[in-house]
This record gives sequence, structure tokens and C-alpha cells, in this order.
Amino acid sequence: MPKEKVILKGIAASDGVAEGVVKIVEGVKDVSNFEEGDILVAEMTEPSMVIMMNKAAAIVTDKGGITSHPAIVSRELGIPCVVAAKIATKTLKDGMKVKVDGTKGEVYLI
Amino acid sequence: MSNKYPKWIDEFARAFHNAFANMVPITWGPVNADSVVSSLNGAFISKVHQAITKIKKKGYKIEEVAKTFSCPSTLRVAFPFLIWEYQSSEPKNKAQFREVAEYMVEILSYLAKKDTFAYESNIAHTDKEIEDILNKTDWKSGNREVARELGKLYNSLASLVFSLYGDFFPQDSHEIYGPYNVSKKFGENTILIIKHFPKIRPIELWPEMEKLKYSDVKIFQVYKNVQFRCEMVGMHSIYEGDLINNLVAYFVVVDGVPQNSIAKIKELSDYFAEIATEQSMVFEKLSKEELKKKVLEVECYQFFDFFKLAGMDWHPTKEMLEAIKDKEMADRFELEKFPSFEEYVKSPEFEIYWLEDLYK
Repeated sequence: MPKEKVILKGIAASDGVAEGVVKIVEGVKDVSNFEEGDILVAEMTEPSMVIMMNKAAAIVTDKGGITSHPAIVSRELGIPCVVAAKIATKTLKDGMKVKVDGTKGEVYLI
Repeated sequence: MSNKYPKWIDEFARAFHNAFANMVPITWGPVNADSVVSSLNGAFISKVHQAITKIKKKGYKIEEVAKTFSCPSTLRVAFPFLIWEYQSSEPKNKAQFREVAEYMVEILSYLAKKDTFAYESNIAHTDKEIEDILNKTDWKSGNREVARELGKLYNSLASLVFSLYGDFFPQDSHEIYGPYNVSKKFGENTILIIKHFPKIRPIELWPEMEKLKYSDVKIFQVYKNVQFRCEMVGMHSIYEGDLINNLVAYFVVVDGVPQNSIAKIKELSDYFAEIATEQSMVFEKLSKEELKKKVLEVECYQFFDFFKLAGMDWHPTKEMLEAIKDKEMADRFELEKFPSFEEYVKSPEFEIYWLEDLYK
């Protein structure tokens, strides 16, 4: 099997591994395109993204720390989370299939 | 550090520095709340001091005063905001602020049974209170499915709170208590975590919330082989261990009524998520002037019952509102990187310098 390619690194904020399709989220306007099991990618999560966060398989953000909103909420949801990935919203594109390793703080293209 | 000032300043420094090192203040917005309170030139400190004077005069006991705050973390955050206001005020009324600081710490010390500034835990229940909770609760067995749904309910409520209180003072309506060792009842390595969402229907701040059907939610969760710690406020929770597979027991109470079926938990979660989304849009529409005013309203709202006990109105004073009017303020906190502990405790840019100065 070919080795998976790490395309992003950040702070490991919530343990676990999940695979899914990337959805770049800017706000509530994205809710209709977001499906159960998608990977929520945002500069930073906001309360307006709550419905999408409840559906997400994992969360990746450009900013944040281990007690930032996406990190706290992901741990409670039991989903992987990588914060402070800096360029996630630039590197990742809608529709990409990725694996998020919240324990290592890494995102892989699959 | 010298021993001339009270020990709580050292405890505050340790907890505050530790918490800030894991936060990213530059993400807080959409208005720099630090700039807002730093413009007040002591006006809110004076209002709080006036309330303290009245409350002391009326002879209320500290336990009665403590009840006016929704949770200990309210004070843990209200306090540094008061320090930031003091830091920027000229001339400084040292005696007045020292009395305010000491009174805030006295109340917080009463509310927090240990670890006053939540360096790593948020213990606000006595052993007896925990024993009563353990014995009087009709615990439901945990499993993966319910653990997931409780996570969603938590997220929906946390989001609602952020949409009501912004990044400025969410802890007034979002507290996590624990960890409480409950091994005697639930077996080895079990802990109880209590998530409390008081004041989720603040109609005085947001008349739109008249429509909200509920005002208070508590989620009790017992985990096995999970470690919990928090940093300065209960909601800055950090777990080690699997929350989904290790939920032993749970209990949800909404406005005093048990709500524990998975169907009901899902319904509540969807309901709060919908309201949070709507309220976010209301919040996002606020102009900069309205946002600045909202910071002050929320700051005062934390003291709602405190001012009431003193016989005072809770709203920001005219002086406070005048102090921020038409003043330009940044959207975000302007602190990119938090300093080392040594630098933090010595620099007049930060809190400890000014707290120590109160005792010089």
C-alpha cells in the first residue's frame, strides 16, 4: 500500500481518526451543502456552524489552540480535530477525500 | 515573588498564565472587548464598588452574595476584565480597586471549594452535595449512541451561549464542574462531570430570546478511565481518554425536569442548534457601536443579581456608555503571543504587576 501523504499539520486537539469529504465552511450559508460525515474545514469555527459541526466526522481549522471552540467541542462530540493548521482553508478544497488524525494533528490526502 | 501581598495573587498568576498559553486571543471578536473595558476609566469598577459598599452595609453574608453569580467561572473571567479596566484608568484609585479585588476573590474562594482559579479543576460542590447527587439521581446507563447525542446536545448549547454572550463572557452561561471521584458508587477510576448551562434565556440582553422554551440545562456524565482537567474556566475542558466508549452513566435535567430518552435528547439538541443559528445571525448583524455596547451590557449582566442585591440597576451606567461612544476599536484582541511566566508576572502590560502594586 502506498504511504499516505501528509498535506497538513497542526495541533492535535481531539483524538481519533476519521475519513471523509472536505467541505470548506465560512458560515451558515454552507449548511445546505454539508452532509453527515463530511470534514468541516474552516478558518475558525463559529456558533453559526453548529448544525454542520453536529454532522461532521472531523474538524480542521486554520487557527485555534487546545482550549479554543473547535477543540473543546470536538472532544465532547468524540470526533478528531486538528487546530492551528494555518493554511487548511487554502490547501484543502471542497470535494477532496482526506483522513484526519486528531491524535497526531495531521491531515492526509487519500 | 515577594511575600508582601496575599497568596491568591500567586495562584491567580499561575492559573491565568497557564490558561492563556493555550488560548489564541487574536481569534476573539468581533470586537476587542479588552479595548472596550480599557476605555471605561474606572466607571464599571466604581459601579461594582458602590454595590459592594451597599451589600456590606446591608450585612449580607458571603454565602448569600455568592449565590448571585451563576457559577465560579463568571468571577474568574470578570475579575481580569476589571483588572484591565484598572490598568488603563487614570488616575488610579488604588484603595477602591483593592477592595473590589479582595471582595471578588472572597466570593470566588467561597464558591470554589479548592483550586480557586481553576488551574486544573473546577470543584464547587461539597462532598455532601456530590453524595446527594449520586444517591438521588436516577442514573441512566451510558453507551456509544447516547454519548454521541450528549456531545451534540453539548455543542448545540455551547453554540447557543456563544451566540448570546459572544467571546466576551460565555462562561456566565456555560460551566463545567469536576472532576469528582465517584469510584465508590460507579467503580474504580470513575469521575463525575457536571455541565451546566444557566442563563440561556437572557431576555434582558436579547428580547428575541422570549421565544426560547427553556432557561437552564444540566448534563451529568460519569466516565470511566477518562481524565478531565480545565484551565481557569470550567468550559476550557481538556480530556484524556475516550468519551464516547467510556460513558458509564448520565442524566439530563432541563428546567428541573429529567429528559433522558435518546429521542428527547436529539430533539433538544436540534432545537438549541436551530436557535443558536438564528441568534448567530442576529449577533452578526450588530454594528460596531452596538457590539461595543453589547460588551458592556454582557459585562454588567454577569452581575445582574449582585446589583439587585445591592438595590441597584444592572445596566451599564451613562458614564460607561459615554466612555466608549464613537471610539475606534479593533475587531480582535491584539495579543499575538503570550509571554513567558517570568515576563508575565513582571510586566506592567499584564495583570500581576498591578495586583502586586495594590499592596505597595
